[in-house]
Amino acid sequence: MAAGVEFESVVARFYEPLYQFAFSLSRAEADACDLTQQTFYVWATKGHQLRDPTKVKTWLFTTLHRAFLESRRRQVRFPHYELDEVPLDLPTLSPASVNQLDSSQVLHALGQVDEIYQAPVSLFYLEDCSYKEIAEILAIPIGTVKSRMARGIAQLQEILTRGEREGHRERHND
Amino acid sequence: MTNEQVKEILQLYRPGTADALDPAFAEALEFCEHNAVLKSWFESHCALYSALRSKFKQISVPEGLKEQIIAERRVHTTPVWQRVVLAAGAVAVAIMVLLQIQSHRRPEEPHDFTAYRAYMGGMAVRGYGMDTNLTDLDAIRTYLAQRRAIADYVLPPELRKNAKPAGCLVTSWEGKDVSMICFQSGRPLAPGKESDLWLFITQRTVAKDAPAASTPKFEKVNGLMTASWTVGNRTYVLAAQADQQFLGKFVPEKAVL
Repeated sequence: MAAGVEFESVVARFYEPLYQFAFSLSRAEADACDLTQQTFYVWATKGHQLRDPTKVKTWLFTTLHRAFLESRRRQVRFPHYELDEVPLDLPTLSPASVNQLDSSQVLHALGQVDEIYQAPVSLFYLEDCSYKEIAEILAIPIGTVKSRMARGIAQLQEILTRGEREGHRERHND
Repeated sequence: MTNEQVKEILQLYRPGTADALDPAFAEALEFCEHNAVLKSWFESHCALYSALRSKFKQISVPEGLKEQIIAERRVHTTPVWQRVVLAAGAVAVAIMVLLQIQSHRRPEEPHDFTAYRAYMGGMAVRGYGMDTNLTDLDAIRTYLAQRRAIADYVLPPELRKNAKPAGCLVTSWEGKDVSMICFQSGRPLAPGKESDLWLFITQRTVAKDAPAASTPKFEKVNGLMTASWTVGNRTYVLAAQADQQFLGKFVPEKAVL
């Protein structure tokens, strides 16, 4: 009974952010639901092995991310990139122009970012995890987390800026 | 440290998160404070982060997902023998934990209300990402309730009347939930800013020295004027970069009812 209550409390606390993370990766409601359910199924069967209760969140996000990678059947390890080639002058994307977009447009743009950077970028915007926790979730060193985030953010902003320019051009031609 | 190095570090800074306490950002943040060009760049960065974060946070969860997850779990029940073994293990662990607690028991350190107020004020000044940009107080309350955050608060009538809601976010301090509601006071907003008046609501037990009275206590904290009071089991801090007279337009000097 107590385990049931505890399970329900963990679900209540984390199912929303986990679903949001899953949806940002898969961009499909059914896939995101499956990933979220799969994560809690693994939690129900293996969660008792976790000894540190402060790690529940990291554990769940790690499990979901692994499930996502498995679902994509990716067997090649991602290469590590360093931060040195990341452009510092990001495209001139304004908060006002972002506010005019809806969530699906931003997620569509995220889908065009190199896949290797998508999970770090999602966690950058979605969750309040520390960089150490994100490194644990993605199972990569903190330096790699930061370099992937920086590159991913640059790509995302570039894609959004391009979309904004094209939108302007189309309106102008009309 | 050059401007480019500062930008390289702070492009990964997330306002309104634990990054404010991360030593990796501390030096770069300090640089920003004393350099107008960097400060302006940093404000743009924070505003853009907040705008994009709010789009990610708008991903809505399908209705019934939680119930489905819980129902699925009930289908996959653990065999009886496994439950017996697990229960025996759990009892053994519980006994060991209890013994550990007994042997290392120390009086709990009090949480300081001044530290709470300074942390929240710092968050408002440094920048934060609103979870939603709702501008309707009822909608904000509904949103917070859906997030299982603190939503049973009572707003001072002056605040409801004189300030315009701009959104909210859910955060925490020392494990205690905090609902932050952002308002516009009516003054011109600085570039990239979406609000200039912030209300933090938390549990009365957030700190042992939290205000006990419903009469607001005004105090200047790190350049912010704050008013703090408690009604029922909720403790409130209203903050703005202003003087007491200005803040008094939004909260009465007498008891908040």
